[in-house]
Amino acid sequence: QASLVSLPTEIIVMIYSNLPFIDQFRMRGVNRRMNEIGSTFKYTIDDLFFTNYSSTCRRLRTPLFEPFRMAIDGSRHLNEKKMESFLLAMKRISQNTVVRKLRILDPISFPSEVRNFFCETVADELVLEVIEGAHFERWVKSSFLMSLVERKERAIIPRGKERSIEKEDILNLHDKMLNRSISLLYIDVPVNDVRILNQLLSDFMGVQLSMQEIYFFHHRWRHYNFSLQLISNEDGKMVLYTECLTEKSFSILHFNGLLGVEFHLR
Amino acid sequence: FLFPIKMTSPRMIKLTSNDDKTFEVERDVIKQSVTVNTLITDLNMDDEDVSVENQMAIPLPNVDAATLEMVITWCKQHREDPPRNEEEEEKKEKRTDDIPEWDKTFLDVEQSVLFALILAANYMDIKGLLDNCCKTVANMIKGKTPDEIRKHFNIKNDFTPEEEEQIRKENAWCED
Repeated sequence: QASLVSLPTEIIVMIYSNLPFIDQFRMRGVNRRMNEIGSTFKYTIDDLFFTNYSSTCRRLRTPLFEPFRMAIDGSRHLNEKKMESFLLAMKRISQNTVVRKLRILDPISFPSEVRNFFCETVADELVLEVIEGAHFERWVKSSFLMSLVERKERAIIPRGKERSIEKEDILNLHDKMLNRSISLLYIDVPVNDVRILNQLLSDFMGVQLSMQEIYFFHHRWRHYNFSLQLISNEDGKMVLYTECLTEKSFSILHFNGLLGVEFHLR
Repeated sequence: FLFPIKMTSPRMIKLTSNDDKTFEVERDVIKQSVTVNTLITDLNMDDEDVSVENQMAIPLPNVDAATLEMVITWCKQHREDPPRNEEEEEKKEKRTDDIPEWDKTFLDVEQSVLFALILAANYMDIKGLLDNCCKTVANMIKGKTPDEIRKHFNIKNDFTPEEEEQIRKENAWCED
């Protein structure tokens, strides 16, 4: 009688490919054959999001809990302890795993083993986020960020341009600031205070961005299920409102005003 | 003027299972099997002058009668499906919630029957059937721990204690 373990490898691979990443990974723990197949299977993680709430908490004087968290494909949220296990697991399959988008909020703040993971992970898109404008300068000057970006230069593949701000000046940021052939790098700057954005732009590129060029990232909030509204008030400033207050109110405050700007560098 | 009308019955093909049962199936139905389709073409079996009685049966040594009957039923149900574009299929986002209702009911069978169907679909190269069978199995696996998967599919745990400990550490992040 036919059974799951007696199926030919190519069929088990087909079944694997119909599973989300977490279930593909769990399958490795079933028996030796599944483990062998899982060790060579080409895994894909669409969105790996590392967050550090600590700086937000400090700023808002909110009690700190579980500062480091991560989410896999917008649904599997891991605390710091589970993150360690995840990194151990990724060591095993890193050679055959593709991360489509690696998002890191405040990468410098993470422990060294997590930072090493950032550097080693091959990702189609690298999204770096800052909470406060001051961090941005600290990052740019940091050798870690440079190393992170340098090691990724061969791995980063351009995505569609549909959301990009096509500005020659922005593209030049690459040459001015990083001097590396990065295909695509997003730097998402908080612009609740537009002055911060303008300061960054004038400091690094000598240009000013109009409000019309500030884009709102819907996708960033999608998995938080927040109700959001984007309103332009009389003096043209964009204000972000949310009606959904949860126990994680600090994170709403954290996101409040985070109007995203995408810088696409080539 | 009256013209004689030629009544053409559908072209039939004979298939024989590995337990020697022969099935007659419409050519248009079984064309979904790339394996059978290729054989028909290669053996020049599309000759309309050869009656089905005189036609050679195509042997399917890897498929038993019960499974072949199911395969034919599936092919009859899907005879009007548009041809698959494999390149497009590859690009599509992988989903398992798009199995048609008829297929869901059809594939709600014992595991041994489902796996026999998978093997037959693979051997006969019927991509649509194979896809939906694999998605059905994937749906059975989703959300289960390795231990639950073992129980569900009656799989023996053949890891050494050391291997199991290593796997346990690596899988800790997956567990609730």
